[in-house]
Amino acid sequence: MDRMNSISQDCNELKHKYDDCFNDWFINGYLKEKPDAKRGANKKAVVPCEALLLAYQECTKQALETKGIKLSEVTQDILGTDQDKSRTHPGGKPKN
Amino acid sequence: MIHNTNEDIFSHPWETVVHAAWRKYPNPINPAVTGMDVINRRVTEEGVLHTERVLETSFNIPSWVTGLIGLTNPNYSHEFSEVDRTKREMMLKTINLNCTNFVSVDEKLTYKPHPQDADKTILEQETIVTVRGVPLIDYCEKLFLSSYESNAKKGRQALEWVIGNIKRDYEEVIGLPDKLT
Repeated sequence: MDRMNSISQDCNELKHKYDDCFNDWFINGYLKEKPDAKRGANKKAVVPCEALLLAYQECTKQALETKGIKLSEVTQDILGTDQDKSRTHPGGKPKN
Repeated sequence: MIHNTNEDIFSHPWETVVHAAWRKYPNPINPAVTGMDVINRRVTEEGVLHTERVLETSFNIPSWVTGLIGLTNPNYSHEFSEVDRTKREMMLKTINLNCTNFVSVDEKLTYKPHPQDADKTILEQETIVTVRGVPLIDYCEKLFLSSYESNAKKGRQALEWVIGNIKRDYEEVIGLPDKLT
């Protein structure tokens, strides 16, 4: 199958490496793992393919800013926090 | 404001559809999506996979309309999604990032197993289009919605195309036909 490109061509290689890792983890890890099997008392948020994601994020962050995509209004680093649970997606309510 | 809901059924198990949903693009049936990046992704303490992505798309509407309402091409959207393997539900919410002063397009998709048939998956789709402060608001809203409805129909075919490809990949690599179905 053809591969989806990054919004910035310069980040394609990093994106594809990360996507490969994520797709493998998703189908062979996440979906197959018994819910709560590895969690139990030590519940902790996990970032799959973290090192590859960090490198990829570093690349796209700059590129998105250059293209004038303002993510700060819609995205904050609150995933998995209490704030996240109470959050309404910015698109979930009509804007004024 | 126009609010539209739609339901569709896939003749594939939830795991197959959700796997295909991550790999939906690039797709010849919906070539409008030209770029996509993961901004954030993690599994929460509850085991739910949260993802934020940015999508680059080209709207299939006349250029005089894009000019009129100040829409740009390409257009960028923000997508927030949750995959809950315990509830077996995938939810994606998308909003436009460009021209939010003129138009907002909110879309919500939910994939969940068919309650009576584990080999089938239900897709629920909700779209809200709001256009303001421009001439011909009704016309613009209807145009956007029809553009999204056409994309929704394409979306179904596009996902079927990916499922077909994934199955072929598995057959080639593992040599076990129908392993995924």
